[in-house]
Amino acid sequence: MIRAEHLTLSFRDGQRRLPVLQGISIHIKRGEWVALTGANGCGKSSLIRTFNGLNIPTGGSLSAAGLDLRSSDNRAAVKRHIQLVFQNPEAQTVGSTPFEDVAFGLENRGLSRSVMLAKIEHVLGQVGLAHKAGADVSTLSGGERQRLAVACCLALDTEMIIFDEVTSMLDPAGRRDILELARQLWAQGTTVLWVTQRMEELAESPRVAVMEQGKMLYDGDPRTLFYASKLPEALGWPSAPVIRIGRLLRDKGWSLDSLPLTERELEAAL
Amino acid sequence: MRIQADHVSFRYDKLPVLTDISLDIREGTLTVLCGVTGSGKSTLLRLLSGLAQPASGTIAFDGGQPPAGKVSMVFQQPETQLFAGSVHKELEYGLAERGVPGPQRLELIRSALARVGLPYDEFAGRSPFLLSGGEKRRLCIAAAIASAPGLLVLDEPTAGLDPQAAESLLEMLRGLRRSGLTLVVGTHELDSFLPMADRVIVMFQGTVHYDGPALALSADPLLLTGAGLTPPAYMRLGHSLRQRGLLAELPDSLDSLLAELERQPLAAPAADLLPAAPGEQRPGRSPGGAGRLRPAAGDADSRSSGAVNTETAPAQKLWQRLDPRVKWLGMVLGTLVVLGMNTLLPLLLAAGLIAGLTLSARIPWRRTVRFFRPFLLMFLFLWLLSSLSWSSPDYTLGPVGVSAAGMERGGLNVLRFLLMIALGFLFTETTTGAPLREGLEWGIAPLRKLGVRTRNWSLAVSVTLQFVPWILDKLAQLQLALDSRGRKARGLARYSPRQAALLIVPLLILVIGMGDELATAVESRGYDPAKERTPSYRLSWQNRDTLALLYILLAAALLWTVSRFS
Repeated sequence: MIRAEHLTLSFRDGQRRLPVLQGISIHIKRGEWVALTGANGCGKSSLIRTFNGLNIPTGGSLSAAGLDLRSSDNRAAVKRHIQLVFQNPEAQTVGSTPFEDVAFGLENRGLSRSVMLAKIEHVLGQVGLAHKAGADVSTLSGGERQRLAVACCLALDTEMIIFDEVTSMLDPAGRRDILELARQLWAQGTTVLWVTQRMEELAESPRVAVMEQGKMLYDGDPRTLFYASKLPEALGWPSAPVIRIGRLLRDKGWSLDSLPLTERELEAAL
Repeated sequence: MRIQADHVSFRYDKLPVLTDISLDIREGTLTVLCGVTGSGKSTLLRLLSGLAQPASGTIAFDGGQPPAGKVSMVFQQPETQLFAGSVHKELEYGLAERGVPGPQRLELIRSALARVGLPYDEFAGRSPFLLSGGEKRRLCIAAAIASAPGLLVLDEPTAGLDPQAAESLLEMLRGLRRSGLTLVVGTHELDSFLPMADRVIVMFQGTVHYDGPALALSADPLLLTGAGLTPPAYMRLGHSLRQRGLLAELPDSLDSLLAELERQPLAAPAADLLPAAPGEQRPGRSPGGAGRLRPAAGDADSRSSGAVNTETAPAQKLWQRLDPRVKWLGMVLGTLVVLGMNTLLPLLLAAGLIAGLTLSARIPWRRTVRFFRPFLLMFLFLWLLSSLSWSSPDYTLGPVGVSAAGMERGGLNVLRFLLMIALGFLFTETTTGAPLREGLEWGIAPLRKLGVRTRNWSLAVSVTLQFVPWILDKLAQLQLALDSRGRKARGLARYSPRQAALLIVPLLILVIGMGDELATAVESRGYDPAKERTPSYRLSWQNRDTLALLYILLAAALLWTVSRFS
């Protein structure tokens, strides 16, 4: 789905160029779930915006959905295949009702009106907002707005959705809902790149990528990251409760494979 | 400071938000206030900080009224509520408003910054807007504690911070608590806050669901789950481990849980009990423990139910069904006619007509008030300003002279502006984005021949109009934030030039940030003005639109005639 080799990106700041991405290589297969993390300002957002064709790579190679993103035509075309859901629920609704908001992205696709209407109804149903299709968007909760953003992605038949810290401004119920929705879509075959700073969301992902100052520090399974590497400590991450208990078990001689990443695994193991 | 709430209730637009709340918060304690969104938590925090008054019941601060400057509140996302050009000035503002004499301020500012971990010498001269997210949050807390309050109220202090910044903020709050400050924290982050709480108040549907020590919540998880909350991980794990006989007692924090487990042998499990190896697909392709992350039952119902529903009340419906072109025309024509009015009679007639139309559109009263309030106060101020006269005053009040002619002229101008704004309000309140945009695009379509990008323009206008209520909301939040800093100005004075100058920078930063994010969102959805477009809303002119058009022309002609000959 995405293949980046030694990808670099820099922004102009007066006379100087500020390096943002410094040689990122990552390969995400179709149907995978990858979690991406890193401190604020490490370049995560720039990286995913580059995947979606919003930034022009400065060097290296990048192909997404089979398109070489060094060409500007392909950067426009890739948005059909890879969609973004942003952090701020308020800043991504263009329409004044959920219906209009989904319709906005479909207007450019050359669809007939009846196909378009059916599609809007279908995707709003998928994210659980069918009953609010005509509601004023300002009356929606943060979680509902994020689900609406997902509906907009689904309407475009997107193959991959990148979630950019979508849970960070939500309450626990909204957080659970959007995560569950993302998991359902993943189970149905959508490729997911889940950007997060929440430790439990990292631990529950099959693959974790860690960025720091424009470089990829780690890309692999969470068990090795949390139990066999020094990285979490070096980056000053506070540990999720399950991981802290897991470390205690590790120190009691448990093997890496038997250490838990989720509460369910912990309960099964004890 | 001791805070006692006695049978407190609060209503918002006739809707009860808090019912019969009685609390007794002791001095020097940290109280955690939790509850799902909509449980009344934020409202209660506002009442406890004295920024809102209860509809009934009383709140006593050390037995009486809150002493000036002794109660401070830090709102959610306070980093959007910074006002000053430097860190020093940011703190000085509140001290000045609270009447602290100049020479004493420096020491207070120094000590407040030190307590939040921002050394004065390093930070005082820096711009608040260029600090990191975590630093901004600390600065807001410093501004709140600079006047040495007896009570500090915090709403979601760690929300949106990265894990490192959140962790160090917690450490800072522990320090504040040790110093004897009374703290009330509203939060969803129970894992972080329950272990440090002296006392927990669980809110549910506007009432107190539980009020007592955190430990009792461990013993009875229903106290949290019954209010729709998920117990923190150490409680959940403690419970299930105790049921398995692995723990003797329920832990009061993750640390005590770990200490207890440390003492146990805990042999590694046999191979067949191993969880799936990394990379291996689990049943249902679910990453990790999806089992405990399910949406609430009610939610699942709403998800499967119902076709697209766009029902609204009948009177509103008529307004919304009118062709947007008629409404555009009505607004433009109305504005032109109002602009041409120079006497009171036609203006009053127009005002009556517009008021009648607004009533018939059934726009909720609260929305109307919220929209007009800032304008009213600003216009009142302009009116007073325009009636001032130095050369030929009719009345004098000390050095200030007021002229009757200026007063009349200013009053008419203000009324004219107000009516034009009312026309715009009526239009945007009865028209959603898509029809508004289609109508406008139809109207300016001829400009396309001149090379004007009409599609970009109509999109920009419709999105901008939609965000007017958002901007007004943010403005209200900024006003409240200034009040919480001890600002003395109330009512009209909140819109004086000095106050407006304070608001303009944070408001601009918010608006520009929003515009930037929205533009990215529009671009990422593949918006392309060059491509053919299938509109989701189709313009269709009906008989009722012709009728409405005739009424509009008639009313405009009448008003114009009156304004010509009166």
